[in-house]
Amino acid sequence: MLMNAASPVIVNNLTFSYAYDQPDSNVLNSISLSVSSGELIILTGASGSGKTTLLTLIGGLKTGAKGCLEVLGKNIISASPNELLLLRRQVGFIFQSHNLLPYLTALENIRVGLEIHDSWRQMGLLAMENKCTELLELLKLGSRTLFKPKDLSVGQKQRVSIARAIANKPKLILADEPTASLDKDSAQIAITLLRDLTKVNDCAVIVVTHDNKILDYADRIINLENGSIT
Amino acid sequence: MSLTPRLPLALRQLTDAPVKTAAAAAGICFSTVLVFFQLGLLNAIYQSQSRPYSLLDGEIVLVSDRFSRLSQSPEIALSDVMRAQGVEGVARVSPLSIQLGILLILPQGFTTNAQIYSIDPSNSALSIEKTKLNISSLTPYERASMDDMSRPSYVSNVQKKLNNYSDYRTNLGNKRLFINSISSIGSTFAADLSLVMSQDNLIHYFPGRSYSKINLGIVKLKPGYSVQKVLATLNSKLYPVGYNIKAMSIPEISDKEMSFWQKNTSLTFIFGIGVIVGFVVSGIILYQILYSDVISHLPEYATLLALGYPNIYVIKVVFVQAFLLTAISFPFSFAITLGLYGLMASATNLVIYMTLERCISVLFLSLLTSSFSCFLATNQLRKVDPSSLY
Repeated sequence: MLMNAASPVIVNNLTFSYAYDQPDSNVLNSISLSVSSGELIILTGASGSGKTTLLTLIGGLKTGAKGCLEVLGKNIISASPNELLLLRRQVGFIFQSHNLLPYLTALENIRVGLEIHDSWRQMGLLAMENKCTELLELLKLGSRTLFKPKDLSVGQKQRVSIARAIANKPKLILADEPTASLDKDSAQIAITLLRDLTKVNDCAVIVVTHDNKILDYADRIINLENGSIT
Repeated sequence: MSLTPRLPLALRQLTDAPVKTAAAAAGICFSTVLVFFQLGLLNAIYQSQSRPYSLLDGEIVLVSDRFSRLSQSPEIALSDVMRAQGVEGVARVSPLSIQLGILLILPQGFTTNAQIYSIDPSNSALSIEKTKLNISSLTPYERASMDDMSRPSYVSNVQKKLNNYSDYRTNLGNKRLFINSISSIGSTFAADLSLVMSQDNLIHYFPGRSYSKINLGIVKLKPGYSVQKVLATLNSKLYPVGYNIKAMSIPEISDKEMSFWQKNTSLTFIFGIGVIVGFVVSGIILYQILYSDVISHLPEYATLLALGYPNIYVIKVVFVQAFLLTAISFPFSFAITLGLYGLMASATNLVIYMTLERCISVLFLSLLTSSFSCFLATNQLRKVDPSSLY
């Protein structure tokens, strides 16, 4: 296993189970991989193969794994809840169901992602709003800044979700089925953007997907089967 | 450098669903009104018991040492009371007798308890100004004045007659009585209505009473004399400990009356339960609202946690919502309560009013109840798992 010291993600012999004392209960079996900056990795596999579990472990959303898991230079296996919280602030999450706050506009939903960082709050409201507007225009949503999620299409909501995830230029982006509910054109826009980000921001992007149409955009495809890489 | 304030998520959640917010605020408003009403009514009932003392034309009251409440005030000798006339600073001493009687209410035909204040018309123990007494109307035989703060239906019967320049004819006990004027005294627990009559008429209707025995002596001081000093003189020189009379100031005897009703009736308990029920209802309503709100917004809260917001921030959002709902509903509770107080006052002649102290304490307790409901409702939030978003 080639380990790049600058890799945002280094996984070594990672095992995860919800009940370690029960035989054959492992969701992940001694997984080893690394993701370099500037790489777009696609994780594929059948349902229940452990793709989403691996994603949530990398993102610090889930704990209880055994082995070695280094994310953005931090060993998160033994990290405290506060350390995991700080890690999550440096990672961009794109959820399958968007998870936008329904009572905020598109612009405000992105702003929520920026406000977690005091550095942005110090820059002031105008700076934050300008950043949000810039991202929405980049994602061809410039005319929808003041729309609430209920007034946006599924594809538009997903793009807002992507904007929120990338607003702070994270070094690692984790996307779970980002194109699942998008039409062909919207899916292409979304994955193209993610690929461009790897080059422009030198960030690593890990995408979990069943969508064969976007496999060609990946630098590497990793297939999981029954918790192991095949 | 100052930090830009974060988006007010709690406020935005509430304004995004105005109908739901209004319904929630209405529920909390209702229970707060319940609390205000219970407290106001309790206070009014107790205050009404001590109101007669505020109508006395004097600063000091002489009563039996066994005195507990006005309606059951033991008799004392008039001669003993009049001894106070010789004390320095005393302008005059007036006799006052209290008697309960049975009055016939016409044209309805039923009887009710009446508390009778009996005075010497030439030396009135009651303030003419405060009670609006027509002193000359008390002198004729078989005549009395009715309290206009008695039950409105009773007063209206009398007022109709008086407006037609007739006396209202009724019975006190088994003797006829004519009510020929209206005054302002105030109702008490002891009776549904009050009458004022002369001592001569009192003895006519209650032959067991005598001129030499009264219930209270009202001492009016000369200008410039200290109530406390004259009290001290009366209680040390004229009516020392062991004597069957004692002197009390108006505030002292008012407090004693209130204290009797607070300790010897279950009113405080009953209304206290009402107040507790009000707060419990408010807490339950708010808990239900917040709990269902938390459940329906769980994915959003999980999103915030996934983005890196700490758990405490998310819990704070819910707390702010709770306080906002309480704050939104409070002015409405206040306004509705004022209306209810007015309605109650006009229907019962009870002196019921809002106080700043009550307002502040109900607001404080409402916020406390909100906090507790919030604490219970956010239990779910402490367990929320951001990985559930995937």
